Amino acid sequence: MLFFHWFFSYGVNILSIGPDIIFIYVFWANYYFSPCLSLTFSFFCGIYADFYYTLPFGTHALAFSLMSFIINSVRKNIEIDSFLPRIVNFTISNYSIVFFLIFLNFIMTQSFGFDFRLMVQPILNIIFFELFNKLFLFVFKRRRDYVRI
Amino acid sequence: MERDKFFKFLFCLYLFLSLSFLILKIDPLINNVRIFVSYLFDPSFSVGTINKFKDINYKIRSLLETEMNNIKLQEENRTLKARLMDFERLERENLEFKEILDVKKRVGYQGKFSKVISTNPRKPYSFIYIDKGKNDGIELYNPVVSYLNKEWVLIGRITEVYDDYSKVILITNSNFSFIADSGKSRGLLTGDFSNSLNYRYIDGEVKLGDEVFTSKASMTFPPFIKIGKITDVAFNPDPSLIYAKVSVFNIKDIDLVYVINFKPYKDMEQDI
Repeated sequence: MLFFHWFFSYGVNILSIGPDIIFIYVFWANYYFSPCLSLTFSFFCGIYADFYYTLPFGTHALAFSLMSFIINSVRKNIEIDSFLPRIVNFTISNYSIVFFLIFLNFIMTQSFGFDFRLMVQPILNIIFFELFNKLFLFVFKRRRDYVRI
Repeated sequence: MERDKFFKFLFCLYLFLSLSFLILKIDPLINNVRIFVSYLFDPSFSVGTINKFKDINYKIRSLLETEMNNIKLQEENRTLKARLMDFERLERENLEFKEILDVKKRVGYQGKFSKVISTNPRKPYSFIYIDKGKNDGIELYNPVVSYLNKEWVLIGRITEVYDDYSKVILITNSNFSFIADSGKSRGLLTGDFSNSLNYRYIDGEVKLGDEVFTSKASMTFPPFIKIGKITDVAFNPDPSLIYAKVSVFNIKDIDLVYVINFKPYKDMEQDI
């Protein structure tokens, strides 16, 4: 993840924004790994993101931990193998995280650092998520479990 | 069930840790870590990135060397600042000396510069000691002047001479009196151990602000040396009882003095 994040964050730059590789990894891991592992992975990815971004330290760790908890609570009821539900799910999650981070940053620093590029970034993320999804499924050969009806 | 409990425990732990980070506000420390890591690794990706890892050793060493150099430079800076202060003092003194030397040309009297080495702490306006004595050509009863506020003013007279130092009785000493002139008057000045003299037995008119000089009629001092300024006049119907206060030097300002090579009783001694 570190390599991809390093490579794409500086190598890919569209409208002066790059894809959020950390979020893509966290999102994917939460659907395809065990709950404890994915939660731990999300937390440490959050710590890494806190080092990388300039938001107050702990913001990403908290956001990713919460996201992991929520996804792990409902993931067996969510369809993610099909293209459209996956995209919708990813987009909603990404925007939720963006708004949560803006809100938390506002609480911590009393400055409303809203940037319109943050609204565009999830769309860029979708493209990269699809690419990574194919790659991860190929590398990890994971299959998802759903609730048995 | 056990896994669920462990999952919830982990979630609570991570939540607690994240909130602790947020509450503790450790961002300054994190910023330092960011700066250090970015200095070591240069995070921007390029084809030559792998080569950059080779520089890590060199960068750590240069960082430590920089810190050591910084400590050395700080020490050097402190020393230089101390020396600069000394230089500034010397420059100031030098300027003062230059100014005095320029003015000395205008004094018209031969003499010797000398430093004040001691004053009487209990009665500062009584005596002072200067660092020049018999060996330097100082003689008894030589007048002593000082350069204050861009003019020479009379401060006293040599009363005791030793080999390497001398004692000066100040004009503010109550045991000292001499004749002085203002613009339109002549009288006797006596000290009272303060920075003002009493101007008594005045013959003529006095008014506030008049400058007082040594008199031609006085044998004690050469004439026309400034003494001070009249700051107070006590009028009386009886002219012989009129007296005035003459403000003179402040003892704190007296540091460097000029001993005039003038012996008042020389001619008399010859006559005798």
